Amino acid sequence: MTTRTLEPVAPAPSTVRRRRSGLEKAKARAGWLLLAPALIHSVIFVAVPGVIVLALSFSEFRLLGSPDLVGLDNYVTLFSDSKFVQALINTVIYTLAVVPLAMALAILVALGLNQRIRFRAAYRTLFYLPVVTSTVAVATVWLWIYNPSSGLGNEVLSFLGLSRSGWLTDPGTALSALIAIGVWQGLGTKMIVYLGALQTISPELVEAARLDGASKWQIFWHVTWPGLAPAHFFVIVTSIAGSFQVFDLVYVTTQGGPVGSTNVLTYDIFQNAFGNLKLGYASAETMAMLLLVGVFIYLGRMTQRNREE
Amino acid sequence: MKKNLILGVAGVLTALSLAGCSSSGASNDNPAATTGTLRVTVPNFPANNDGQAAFQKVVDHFHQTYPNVKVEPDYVTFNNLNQKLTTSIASGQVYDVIMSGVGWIPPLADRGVIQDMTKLGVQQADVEQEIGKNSPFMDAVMVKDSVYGMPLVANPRLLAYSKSAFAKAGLDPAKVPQSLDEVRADAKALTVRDASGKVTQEGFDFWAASGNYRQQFVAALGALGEPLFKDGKQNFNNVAGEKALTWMTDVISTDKSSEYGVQNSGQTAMVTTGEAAMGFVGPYVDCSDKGIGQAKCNDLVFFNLKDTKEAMFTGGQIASVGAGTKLAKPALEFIKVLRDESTLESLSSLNVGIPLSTSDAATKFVQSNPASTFAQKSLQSAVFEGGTTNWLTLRTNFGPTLDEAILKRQSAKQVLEGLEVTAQAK
Repeated sequence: MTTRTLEPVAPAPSTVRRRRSGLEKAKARAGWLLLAPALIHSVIFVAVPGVIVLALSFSEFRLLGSPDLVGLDNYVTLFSDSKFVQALINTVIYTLAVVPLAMALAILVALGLNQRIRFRAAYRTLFYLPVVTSTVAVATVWLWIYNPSSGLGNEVLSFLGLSRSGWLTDPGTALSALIAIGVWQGLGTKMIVYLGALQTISPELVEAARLDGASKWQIFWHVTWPGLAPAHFFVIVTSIAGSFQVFDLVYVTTQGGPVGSTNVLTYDIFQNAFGNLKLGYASAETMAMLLLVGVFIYLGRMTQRNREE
Repeated sequence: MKKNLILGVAGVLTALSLAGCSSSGASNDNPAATTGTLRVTVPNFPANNDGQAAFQKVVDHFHQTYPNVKVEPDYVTFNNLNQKLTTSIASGQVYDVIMSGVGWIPPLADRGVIQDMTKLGVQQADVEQEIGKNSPFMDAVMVKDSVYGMPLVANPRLLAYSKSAFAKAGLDPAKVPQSLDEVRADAKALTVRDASGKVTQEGFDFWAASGNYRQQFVAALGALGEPLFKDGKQNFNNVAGEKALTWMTDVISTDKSSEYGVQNSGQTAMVTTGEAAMGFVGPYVDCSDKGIGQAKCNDLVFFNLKDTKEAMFTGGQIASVGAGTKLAKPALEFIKVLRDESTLESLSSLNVGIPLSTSDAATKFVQSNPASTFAQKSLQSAVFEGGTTNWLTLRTNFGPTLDEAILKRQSAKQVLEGLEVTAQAK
């Protein structure tokens, strides 16, 4: 009698490939399906308008009628346009002031509100309140605070024995006054992100550092700060993009004045596009701003990379 | 006025039916059977409760004739009206009725945003019948002998001073300052500061936010005998323009009799609230206890700048029919309702104006308060802004550019030269 050993028959390689391929395809289909809503939204509202703006930036287009191609003329004009240059400088100053200042304050507030203190939830709500309040309402209140004749700002200065300020009506102080509003208004979002990041830092790590004799500063610098790295990146990117997009605040409070001292890129683009009907030129400004935002975010990312290394 | 209106509109409707004017599809000769949505820009009805209630009355009145035409208001401001109109045209969503201001008609007609109402049957004589043959507003609505709008309300900016403040400052309350030099000297004497240097009473209130001294410049230029534009060309970069702008700079930045860009929280004329002794005011003051009170009204003297010529800056509201509308007849009917006596009064109260009408009711309204009475009498001294087809672009830049001189960043000459270049650009 002969015995036959039945060995498992390996499936033919082509069958495996087919099965795997079917699974991969199903996964890919699911991926595309899940991605579709965001992708469609991005294509319609980001990619297509982006391509149109890029195309328009090489044209002279006054909204009514058809665009005329002008090559790089709009880009060449940008750098001889004193209004654009001033808007560019104002935007950079605004960003360089608001982003780090608001980040530093947000970390401090988050550290404070991460402690077990009374009314902690109420404080967190209060700090977050400006974020959920409409900018128009916020700006209206600040307009009253900054009113040179009857505003709270000058009353406080007088109380402290300091000379009164023109605030938003003084070209020397108007941008700083807007920066103060920008910092105050953006504090809540950054604070929430940092608060979330602080709560992901392992208490065991902090405890171990303390047992090793680390000072409070050493614990912060060597344990807490590195733990906040992902939050830093997120906050930097969103803050830079947000501060470059400051528009409503300027529109409601100063309309870019006095004498262009608060004219920022978004407001200048708006004015050129819909006030002066220079859509081609405004598109070139938009592309320049996009490039600048990219450079700033890259630089911000570099500071984090150095820290990580 | 009603009789005139009925005659005018009857003529319009006859002309429309004869000409078979474009009221395609939705519109026909039977108003009750006409359907559609009438899109209306509403910069002169504020988007607050009072403004919306006043506008609803207009809609209700309109629905008596066109019950099935829905009215869709777009509450815009004059600051973003230009953007709204242009983007609406570009996107193919035309407005059927466009309410704009003095100076807007030539650029809107040039861009094809509004249509020639003469072709719809509205003749120059119809407008003259409504607002008076010699009304300075006739020029504001005519483009090359064609009617492009129907004036509704005038919004002049006159001046006023407080007699008691004059007496307190040692000035003669009976002597009305009129030349630019006299106003400047009196403003200086009237400015009161406390020990800390805070201005407690402005000598002169321009009633303007920063970047918005354009209309006041037009008034000063007019007082020096020059209009902003002459024969379609700029008329501000000249000796008079330089003098007008230098005067403003002197009052604000040299004498500091007027704080640059400062307004009260209600953005009302500060001479009516006692925060300023003299300054620009609107053509309507409420002398009742709900308003500034009779005592304050009695304390105010209204006047105009008069250096070489009396001049009162005047803006105004004009209703036009949008180009490309498919509801031309309902649009004309809506404009007719806007010119109803009660609507004109509402518009005047809501926008600090005076009704542009020859009716008895309008006269009664004008005589109800001293500011309106004075403004009405002075309408022949009206000076306007705008007048060229590129005014809307220039308008955006004019005020902020004037500030360069007012704040002494540039000389008046430099600023006006720069504005001339902008004015000449297409």
